[in-house]
Formats: sequence, C-alpha cells, structure tokens
Amino acid sequence: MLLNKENRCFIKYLFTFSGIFNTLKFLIRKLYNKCFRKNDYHNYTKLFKSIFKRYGCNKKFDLFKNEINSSAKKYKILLATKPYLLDEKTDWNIKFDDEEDYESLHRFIWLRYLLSSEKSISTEEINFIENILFSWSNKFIHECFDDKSLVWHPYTLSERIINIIIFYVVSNRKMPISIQKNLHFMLSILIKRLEFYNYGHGNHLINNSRALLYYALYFDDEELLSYAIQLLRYSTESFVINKYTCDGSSHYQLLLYYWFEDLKQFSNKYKKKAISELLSNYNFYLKSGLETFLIKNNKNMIFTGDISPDYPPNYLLTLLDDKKLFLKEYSLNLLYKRL
Amino acid sequence: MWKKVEYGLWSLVLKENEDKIGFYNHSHHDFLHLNLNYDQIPILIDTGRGSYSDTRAHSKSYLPEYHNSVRINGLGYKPDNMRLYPPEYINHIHDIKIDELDEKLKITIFTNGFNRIDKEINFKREVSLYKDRVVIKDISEAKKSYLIENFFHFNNNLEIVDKKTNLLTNGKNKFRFISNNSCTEYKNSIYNKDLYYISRQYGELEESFGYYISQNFNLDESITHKIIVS
Repeated sequence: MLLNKENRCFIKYLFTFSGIFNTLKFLIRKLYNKCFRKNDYHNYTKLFKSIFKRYGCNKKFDLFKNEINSSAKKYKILLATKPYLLDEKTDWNIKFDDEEDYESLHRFIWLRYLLSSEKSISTEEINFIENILFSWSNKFIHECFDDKSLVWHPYTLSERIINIIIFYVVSNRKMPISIQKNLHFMLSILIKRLEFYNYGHGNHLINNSRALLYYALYFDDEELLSYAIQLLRYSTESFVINKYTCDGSSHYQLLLYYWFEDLKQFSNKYKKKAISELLSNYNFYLKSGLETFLIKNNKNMIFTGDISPDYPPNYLLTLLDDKKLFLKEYSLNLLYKRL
Repeated sequence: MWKKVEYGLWSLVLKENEDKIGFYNHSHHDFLHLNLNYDQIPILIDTGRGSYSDTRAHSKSYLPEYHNSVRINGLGYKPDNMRLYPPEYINHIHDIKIDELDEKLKITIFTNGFNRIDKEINFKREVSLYKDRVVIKDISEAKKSYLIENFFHFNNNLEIVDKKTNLLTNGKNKFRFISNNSCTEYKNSIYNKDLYYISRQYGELEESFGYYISQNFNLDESITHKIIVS
C-alpha cells in the first residue's frame, strides 16, 4: 500500500526544506549507483585497487576436466536448514525452499562437519569428497561457468576456497593438480570482486581476506600473504569498535570470532607467529564483547540481531567449551587437533 | 553498542546505541528491546531470525514486534523498510541513562525516532530493576493520544502455571506478568502467526509464547508492565 502510515509520515517530512534536499540527494545517489555498471575492482579503495589489479594481471589457467570413478555412494550432509543426501551425480542446481541451503551446498560448509566429527574421516569418505569436488568443478568451471550466479558470489567463493583447502590439510591428502588449478582460477575471480560496496563494507570483506590468507598460506604465496594481511587489518579494524562488531548481532560476532580462531589455528600450522598474534589480539576484544551475551559458563548465548545460516550457534560455541559437542558429534576443537 | 546491567539476580542486556551499526549489517530494530535474565536463565528473549527468505516463516523477525519492544500508531522507532528512505529520515537521536537508586536500578531509554509521527512525542522507556521485580514504564509526553502496542516474548523454558493471572515458572522460581491492560497471546493477535516462534538456529523454529497489549497513551498516562518473581 503506497500510502501506508510510514509514507504519510514521510510525506510530512518531504514538506520540510531539509526533507526535500535529503531525499533528492538520496535518490540521485541511488540512481548513480544503479546506472553505472559494476566493473571488476568496483568500489575498491585506491590502495587495494592498485595492489590487486597488479597482482591479478596476466594469470593464465590451464584448466582441465577430471574423470569421475563413481562409487555410487550417498552421504548425508548438513546444509543451512536441513540434511541433504549428496552423491557424485548430484543435481548441483537443485532448488531448495530456502536459498541459504543452496548457498551452503556451494560454500562446502558441510565439509566442516565431516572434519570436526568425533569419527575421523575415512579414506572412503576422502575419495568420495574428491569425486564431489571433481563433479562440482566439471559443472561450474568447465560446462557452465557464470560468474554472475550465486555460486560465484564472492562470499560463497571465499568459503569454498577455505573449506576445500582445509579438507586437504586435515585429511592429509595431496591436492590433485586439477583442484589446485581450479583454486587458482577461483582466487583470480575473488580478487576482482572483493566485497567493497557503495556504502563501505560489511563482514564479508573480512571473510574474503580470510580466504586470501588461507590460499596464500597453503600455496606459499608470500606476496599475496602480505596483501591479504593488509586487507584483513583494513576490513577488521574499521568493523570492530569497542569490542563489538558493526553487524549488531551476537551470533555474527561469534562467527567473526570463529573466523579469526580458525585462521589462527591454520596459520599456526605454517608457523606464522605474527598473523597468529594479530588474530589473538582481535579475538581478545571480540571475546570480551561476547561475554555480554554468554550465559551458563559459555554453554549458551543470548541472541540479538540475525542468526547466521552458515554455522549454528551451538556448533560455534564448541570453540568456547571443550566438552561441548554439537549434535552429540561435532566440535571445532576436534578439527583443530587434526590440523 | 551493547550494555549489560545487573541488579540482584537480574541481568539485562540492551542496545546502548546504534551509531556504529554499519550500512551492511545484521542488526534488528531492537533499540528499546530488553533481554532479561533471572539467575542466568533467560526470561524475556529476542526471538532470533528463522530465515532470510521472504516466503518462509520468521523472515520478518528483524521488526520491533519480534522483540520486547513497542510500536506507536503502528510504527516502530525507525521505518520497517529502511532502504526506501534517506538516512536523515531514518536516523534517530537516542540515549541510555543508568541510575543506581535506593533499592533499585533505573535504566532510562530515550529515542526521538517516533517524532516523525508527532514532534511532541518525547518517548522514554524506564526500566526499574528491584530485587523481586522488574517494572517497565513507557512514557509518551505528547498532548495527543496515540495507540501504543507492547510486545513481550518469553523464553520457552518457562511454563504457564495459570493463564488468567499470567503466572509462569521455570521450575525454580515463579514469575507473574502484570500489565495495566488486558494481554492477548500472539496466536490470537492481529500480528503474523509466526510471532510466537523463536529461532535459536537458522531454519529451526520452536514454539514459544508472549503477550501483545494495545492501548492509548498520552501526556497524562504512562504504560506500566511488571514481572514479579517469587
């Protein structure tokens, strides 16, 4: 309804000088943002535009498809709202009631559960997941690459890069050349589309930098590592103010705490003390903010703001309580012991 | 941004300000909202966020009615759809003051967000924590009379002992909810049917309960609600 109560108030506001001025300014800015095409490196700060343009140029990818030796197995994985039976011939474009399930599937978030289960991952499961990675790459890199689709959204892409890398590290399997090349390709897309937006940035830019750091550590890319640290500092230090994040949500604050703890554990493996110290420092502040919301010796938390579809609060709370298991099976501490 | 205050066995978590909320955020319309715990057990809660998908239940749970908050004349302290309006129209001046007085801790929450309805509204919410009760008082100070809708969401670990007197228990203590007007359970209210759900995990909804109270208030009348523990 056009003339609802809010719009009646807004019309009253429009009859003031500042009201009409502010509205015109607002509409012109909206129009400008809509009309101008969003190119690669859109909205980057000068510094990061020059860094990543230089880093991203002249990269060539000799990508190739993989044959899948199907095992005809199915595994139950956990998505944002429900479990899903995954097999090597899965329909990757399946429609879910909630879009977050689709994104969760393509973020490979479900890998985390396999890696943090009380049961160690078996060779059979490792082979299955590798086939899944081949199946996904064949579909979305070789057959129908569309960088405008949700599958290639930079946040989803960041999570996917991180989860694929941690899968190979925890399972102690050598990453096949084709997967390595796919990751190089994914990174090249990500660095052109880091989440700098018209009105600044949100938590996504921090996760983008986390993906760059994961990649740089795994592939021993010192140049990228230094850029990624700069991006991490830039995105975090303007986002965490007086021990709280600008998200305004207790669960998202816990999620950020997890990203940093996760990255710290990963960088410890590569003996990067400076990164580890930086992240410990960030988490010191985040933890003291989190204490506002934690109850019953960190076993539960008070919710304010949104609840993230990525990782359930009770899964992330395993970080703060050694004895806690999510769904009686999963704990992030188990994953880090396997790193 | 957030403030935790404690008095006796009560603890209250509330939003201190919204100045640092970014444009891209996961914040709700929850200034004025109260997260109230007694002896580490949540009593009044935030209902969470069940889904981001418009077609699914609980996707609008960022709005004030999903919090222990108010609407005046049907409007929240800021517009429901913020992307439609200039920031200068949305931004509100707000403040929190805490006074430790004899036998109580008084928290005064102020916002001028409702002044887009009427410049004379000087909305204040006073929350007084006593050892054995919490008193929540909403004050308008406007000359004209306005409809105020109050929303209260209780943790679903509480059981209703007596519906008529709004007597609740968590097994250890009893809590009586008292309002100066009649309370309607959400299932019977004019609001969405998903208002009585809470979500502690994305995609999962648990049934809970709460009260919806609507009445007029003006210069002379304040609206008072109490939770008394025994």
